[in-house]
Amino acid sequence: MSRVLGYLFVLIFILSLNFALPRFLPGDPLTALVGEQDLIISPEFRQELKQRYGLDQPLAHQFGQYLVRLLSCDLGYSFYHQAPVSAVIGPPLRWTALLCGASFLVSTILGIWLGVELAVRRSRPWTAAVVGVCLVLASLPGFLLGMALLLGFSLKLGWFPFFGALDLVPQVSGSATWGSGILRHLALPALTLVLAELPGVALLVRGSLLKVLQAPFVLAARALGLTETRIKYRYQARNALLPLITRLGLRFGLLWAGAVPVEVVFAYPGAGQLLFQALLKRDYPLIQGLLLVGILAVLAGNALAEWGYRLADPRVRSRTWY
Amino acid sequence: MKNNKKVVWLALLVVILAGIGFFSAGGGTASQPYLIGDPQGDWGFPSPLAHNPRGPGYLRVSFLFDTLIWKDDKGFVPALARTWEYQDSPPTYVFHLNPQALWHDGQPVTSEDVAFTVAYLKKHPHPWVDTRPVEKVEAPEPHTVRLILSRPYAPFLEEIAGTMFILPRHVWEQVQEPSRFQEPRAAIGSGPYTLVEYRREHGLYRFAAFEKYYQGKPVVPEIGFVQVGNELVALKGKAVQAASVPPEAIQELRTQGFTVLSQPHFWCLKLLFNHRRFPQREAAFRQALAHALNLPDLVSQALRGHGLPASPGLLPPDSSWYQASQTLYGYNPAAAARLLASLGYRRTAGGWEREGQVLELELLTAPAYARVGEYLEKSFREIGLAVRLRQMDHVVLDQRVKSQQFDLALSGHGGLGADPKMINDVSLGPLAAEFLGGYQPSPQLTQLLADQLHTLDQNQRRKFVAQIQELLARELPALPLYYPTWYLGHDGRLPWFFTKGGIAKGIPTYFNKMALLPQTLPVSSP
Repeated sequence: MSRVLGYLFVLIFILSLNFALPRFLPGDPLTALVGEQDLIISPEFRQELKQRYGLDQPLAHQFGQYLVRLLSCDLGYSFYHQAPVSAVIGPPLRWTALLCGASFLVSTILGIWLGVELAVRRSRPWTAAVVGVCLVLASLPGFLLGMALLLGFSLKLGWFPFFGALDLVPQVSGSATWGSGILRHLALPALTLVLAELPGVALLVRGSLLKVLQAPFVLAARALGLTETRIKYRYQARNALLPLITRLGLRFGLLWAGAVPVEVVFAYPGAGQLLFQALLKRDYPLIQGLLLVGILAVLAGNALAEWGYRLADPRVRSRTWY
Repeated sequence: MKNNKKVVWLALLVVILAGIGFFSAGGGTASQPYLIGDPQGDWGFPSPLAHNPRGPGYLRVSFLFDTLIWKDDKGFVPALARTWEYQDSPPTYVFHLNPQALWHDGQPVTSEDVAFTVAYLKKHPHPWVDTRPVEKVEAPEPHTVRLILSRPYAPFLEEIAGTMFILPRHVWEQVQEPSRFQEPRAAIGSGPYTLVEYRREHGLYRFAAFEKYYQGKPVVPEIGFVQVGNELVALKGKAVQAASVPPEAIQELRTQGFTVLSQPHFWCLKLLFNHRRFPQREAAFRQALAHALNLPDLVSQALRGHGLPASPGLLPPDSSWYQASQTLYGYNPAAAARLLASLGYRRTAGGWEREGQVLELELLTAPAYARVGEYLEKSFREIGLAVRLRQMDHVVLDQRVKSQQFDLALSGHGGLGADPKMINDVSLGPLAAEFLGGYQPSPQLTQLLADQLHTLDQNQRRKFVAQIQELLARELPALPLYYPTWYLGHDGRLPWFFTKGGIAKGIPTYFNKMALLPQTLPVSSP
């Protein structure tokens, strides 16, 4: 109960910050909206814009309006896209969920597997080479990796599309073709994110596992005659999971922000790119809407991490919470 | 054995990835639309009153909606109005509409629609169309409409008749909030294309040829705009058929069979001065800085030669209103030093000093002009003037300029090919003063700017505009630096041409819908 109240308090505090932060950004939305054509647009239109977006109202009034709208689940009206914020962010959030969800899942599963193998087979010469590759991949900027994949697989080989998230003109009817179009568009952006995220997961698991490889419980498990695979994943890996869960919990809420460079390279219509553009255009309602979603994702990530601790570690489960 | 298993799994993964590509790449039979790539993507719903107020937003709507007249590479051409004439007293433009013109829903276009549009825009302003000069609209016949002006207005044809999208009265008369009217009916226009699909998140606009278009069905059945991550890669991969391309790719694209066109120079980067501060408010100081800069060298270094040094009179040589300035500022550090000395400054080891204070100024620049900023800083240092560079986001820069919190700043604008009313827009009035650091034009310049708006005699107006350029060159409210050259790459299938002065009131792009009509026009080389 106390934890729920804690989250509620954080949410209320953040909602207020959410309103204030975009307005702390230097630069005004009208100038950002019309850009260099500020001088060319008609004066009547300029006045009309101010009224339309409530920018001629005092800040306190704008804040009141924001809260009232929020209570009725209205996120406001985007200055730039001239549409309700919920309609603007809906489709990009779905694409982001697909891209980040897929890459998060794949990078986590493959990362755990690779980390375990690197730790268990640490004496083999190839593991040093793989660790080196992991370090190189982890240090590469996402957009560079994405651009290399785009040039190689799309431009040179012609295997994958250049931009977007689905076929613009469905080639032939049928859900199989529609689905394969989505998969083809997803492949390279997701691969970029997996390659960027997997090394970190693998190295973390490897590091944590190295500490428990010779632990007494491992000796006990071997004495019981358990298989090596069972010992590796059921006992050793599980004991090394706690730092990884912390990392994944923190990462979960920030996934979409990390996807921004990849979304830009592949013109993947996700929410990260939308937030980036909204910040450039000082689109206050859109920034507020997206940050709200981001905040909820971070809170959800923290809650999932806590739940994950309790699932992975019986010691945490048995502890009394006050 | 175990290792073999892993190799098999790895091979399977690669095959699956490749298979995804092959699987659906081979399934296509439907014809792809002609696609134009754009890194920005969404420019708003394509209706005349919901699109983004910048040029690309207007451009997309222009495929769906027609204006009374339009422009090709030579000048005004008929659109909804087959013919038009001017009558003196009262100042009136009479337009005779094409009786074959239809709305996309099959209803005829009439003079009532034109009258309705003007009345509607007076109530709900359009970003680009200032309807104030139109006092009254009469629709004496179904296909004749008279626009009566309060006084002669020289830019009328370009600014109003050639820019104002005509709205179907039967669709819009009940609409109270035009910017929120974004249903399919809002895209019913009288233009050569109808809206097939608008996907905001993909920046996708798909248009299909309107079978009953009064100037003939367009030759391209389907055309569209779409967001791309990298225009050059998308063009080279033939995922789009046209896109802007960087200068360094021109040769390679031509070798690969693409057509590359350069655009006329209708965009200018300027050095802005804060006229509320000394010494920037002194013409001698601004002229000194002009002499300190070697503009051809700036173009070769900052733009690698892909641009033109700017004229101090603002308008570029590509503009039909351009007048070569008598006042020129060649690179002359000695002249710059003399001008600074004339303001009471004395050259010391620390820089230019006056009343015990060394002159040091801050130059605001945006990331896009970083190299220009460095070049200016170096050039000013060479004449002993200390300048601190400060880089910031361009929105912040614009805001700092508007609130007069700057010494010097780099900023640019387009529209230089349009009607010379644009000179008034950028140098006269309270907003222009904000953007020009509080600059107040001299009474002579103010009078000339007012006169050129109301002079219908083209030769007389041309003289006024020439004098305006000369005065701007002398006063230097801002110092024009260069006009960059931009390039369009396309597959050569369509005869894109550059519209005289830019589309409507000066959009600097090749994508004029006239190029898609049956009587195709030759490609222009500006």
